[in-house]
Amino acid sequence: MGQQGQQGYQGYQGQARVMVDSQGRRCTEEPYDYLFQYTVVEANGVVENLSQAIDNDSDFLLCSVETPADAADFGLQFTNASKSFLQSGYLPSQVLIGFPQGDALVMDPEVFYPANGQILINLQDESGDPGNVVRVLFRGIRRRYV
Amino acid sequence: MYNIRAPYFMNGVPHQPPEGYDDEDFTYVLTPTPSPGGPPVKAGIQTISEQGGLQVEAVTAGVAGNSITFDIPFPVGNQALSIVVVGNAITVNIEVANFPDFDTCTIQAVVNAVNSDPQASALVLATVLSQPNGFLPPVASPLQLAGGANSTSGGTVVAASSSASFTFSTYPDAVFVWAGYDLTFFWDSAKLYLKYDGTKALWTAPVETQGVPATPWSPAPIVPPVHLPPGTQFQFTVENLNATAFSNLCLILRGFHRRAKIGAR
Repeated sequence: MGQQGQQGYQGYQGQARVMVDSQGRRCTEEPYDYLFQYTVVEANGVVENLSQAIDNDSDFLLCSVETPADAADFGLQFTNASKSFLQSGYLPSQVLIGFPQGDALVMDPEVFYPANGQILINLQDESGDPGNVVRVLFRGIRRRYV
Repeated sequence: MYNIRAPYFMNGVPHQPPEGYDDEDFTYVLTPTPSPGGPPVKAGIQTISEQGGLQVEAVTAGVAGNSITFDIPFPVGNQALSIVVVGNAITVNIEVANFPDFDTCTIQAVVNAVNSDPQASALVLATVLSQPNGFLPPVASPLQLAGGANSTSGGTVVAASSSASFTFSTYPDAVFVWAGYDLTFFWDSAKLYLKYDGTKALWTAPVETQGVPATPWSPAPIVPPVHLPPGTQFQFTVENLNATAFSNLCLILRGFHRRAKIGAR
């Protein structure tokens, strides 16, 4: 989802649009991104059970996962809301590179995280640089019920 | 809760799971373990007969030892035991006292002669395999040492200009709906062949990967997707078309897991 896609989601005059979810409940949806950052301490090390908290006032539908094109190499594995991993191993960061070089990682179908939930994250540094800052953008839709 | 926005779009096609089932995005990430590497191996040769056995092994490990020859020619008359070395060719003239009988030269005597000759012992080490007092018969043609190998550095997943196969199985608790694949870490210099359930394949022959390194979804969608039962055995073969080895590679199978809704299980 690029910049154009985000603007398209914002509804009329920037208002969050009112939707009806698959269970018939009225809700508003707007684009929302969680930026996860972690500074590598141990070169080529593995760090488990990191987490990205979901806001407590809205559900989150994860649509894609993205990292900057100039990111140093790392591997990523993360969970759904029930703490099951969505990958069998570490995804190489090359497949997470988004605009302008790649398509990022599209989550299809979208992954649902309830308000106050969390995304558990395992990281494997592959840069060999203990100061490397890993940046992962969890992109999606914030949903509030009205 | 997985399909809260169903129908969703899979490879651009609206899609919805059947009644009573949930789909959840899932990615199989397969990264074969690189080879551990190994030390160099010495070339060697054995000559064994009912009289006994002799082993000759290169002093220096590596492929260079494969060029050493070890000859025990048939005698043409009485002669003393002697060793002649020309380059990498070692010739043992066995002792003969009563020609044409030449069963007087023991294996132990040959071993001692080879190992005490400065030129021969710089190339090889001779040892008795069995019956040191047995007689050493001549050979029809020079023996070529073999099996020498240089050290391998390790870290190789697929050696240069060769193929390697890897196997795995899908999770036992879910149907995997396979909708796309990607092979990373090399570009247009490899062929990929995927088989599942032992014999089934998407292609009749390996496909050459071209420019699908970092964009996992759109370059290689599988339409329609392939429904794989839980625990499906997969085998993928990668043919390396490069003159250098692949030190790592990663096969990514995109799709989703389909499970019965929790209340329906």
